[in-house]
Amino acid sequence: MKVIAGYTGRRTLEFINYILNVFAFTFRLFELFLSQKATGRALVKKAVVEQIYFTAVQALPIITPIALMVGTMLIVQFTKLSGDFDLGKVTVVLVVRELGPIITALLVILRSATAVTIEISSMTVFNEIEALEMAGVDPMRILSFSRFVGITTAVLCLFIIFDIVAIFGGYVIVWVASDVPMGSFLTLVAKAITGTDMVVGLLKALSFGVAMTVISLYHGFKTKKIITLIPVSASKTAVQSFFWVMVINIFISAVFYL
Amino acid sequence: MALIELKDYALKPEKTGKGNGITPLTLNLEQGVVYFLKTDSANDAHLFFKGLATLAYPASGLYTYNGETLDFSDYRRLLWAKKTMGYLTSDTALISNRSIRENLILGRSYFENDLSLALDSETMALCVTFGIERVLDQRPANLGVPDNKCAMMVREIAKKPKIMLLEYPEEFCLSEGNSLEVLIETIKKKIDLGMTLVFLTYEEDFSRCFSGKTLTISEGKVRETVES
Repeated sequence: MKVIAGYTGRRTLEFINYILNVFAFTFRLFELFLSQKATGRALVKKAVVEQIYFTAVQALPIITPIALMVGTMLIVQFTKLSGDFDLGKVTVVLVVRELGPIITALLVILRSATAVTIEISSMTVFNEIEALEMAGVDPMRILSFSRFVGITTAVLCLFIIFDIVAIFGGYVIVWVASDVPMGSFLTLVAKAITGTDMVVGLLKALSFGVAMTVISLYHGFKTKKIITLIPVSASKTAVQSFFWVMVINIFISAVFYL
Repeated sequence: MALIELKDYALKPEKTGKGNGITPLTLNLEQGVVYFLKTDSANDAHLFFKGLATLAYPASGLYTYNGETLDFSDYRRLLWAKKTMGYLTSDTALISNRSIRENLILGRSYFENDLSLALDSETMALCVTFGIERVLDQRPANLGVPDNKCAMMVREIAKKPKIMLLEYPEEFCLSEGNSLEVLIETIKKKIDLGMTLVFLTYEEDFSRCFSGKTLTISEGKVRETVES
């Protein structure tokens, strides 16, 4: 009994410690965001642009066909049910509110969040973080802040692209490739979408971006100086990012729609 | 004038469990003086180097650098001191996702917000001296160990450090030619300009070229002796 109680206590304390550390790390990143220091601004700007390129631009060839497939599949299925449901509303609920942010987040976790953890972990293991410090450079500013801003911006952009491609692209593909009756699909979507839907979608994308960047950076910096722990950190980043993205998704949906 | 003043300064052994750590010591490292490290434990010597470079935090005591007592509560408050230290030890590294040139100009890019890739004349001269001018636009992973070690030397010397912490300099002079002699000459010039040198070496050719004080680390205790 004592063993079980001890184990439970230790795990609980570890979890609380983890949550506090992640929040402290997030606080530091927001502090850097608000401090607007002039030192290193040119390097940080360059790194932000590079990160947006890696995370958003390089992901376009992957996210575009995925969005098209999702959009086409949903539109084909919805048109079969158009008598029973409001086609526009169902599309908005599924694509804009739920699938858009989630699929975008999943793609960025798989492509970029794990890559960031591996990069930062490697830098930690091979003493490159210390090399930055010995140059007088703040690693938090040059590595974390740039990735934080870059990935969050990229997730936001990819979410907007996903929604547009899924709805308009899916519509065009179904219209060109099949004889499924589309009616006034786009008009129905336009009527169904509200300001709240757009705000919720953007808020989710923003929160997901913040959460996955913080988790990926945190695990990168926390990796002990053992090379075999790099894949362990990457794995933790993937699993925990997706878990917290789902938690945030439910929380935001509950706040706005319940 | 003391560049570094350590008062009741102690370091815990590293988490690997090797070495004794550094027991409380009071020591002054003077500006422009050469300190030769002798030790019975390479791990303790390495820890001492890390401590001097403020990469290892003291378990107790005070560390005063250039007249200012260092605050170890936040790593950001140590960056100004680190910036003026040359650190060439077994765990010195280059930033792997940047070219050698970008590694050499990192400090300037950061502090002066200058993204131009041109090296200043002094750094370029060092690159030529150590034979890395042809590999400046390569990334460290594309180069062999000797070129990377030379790039580290150039980077640390180009910082114009107030103190150079040098652990086994012979390991940084692996390229063909006379790079150890070149390093000795370069460091001698810097010492004449007031740089402090703390070094540990097995290479007698290196230690014979410098005269100064000896720091002996034995079972975690650091003692200073004067040698001619």
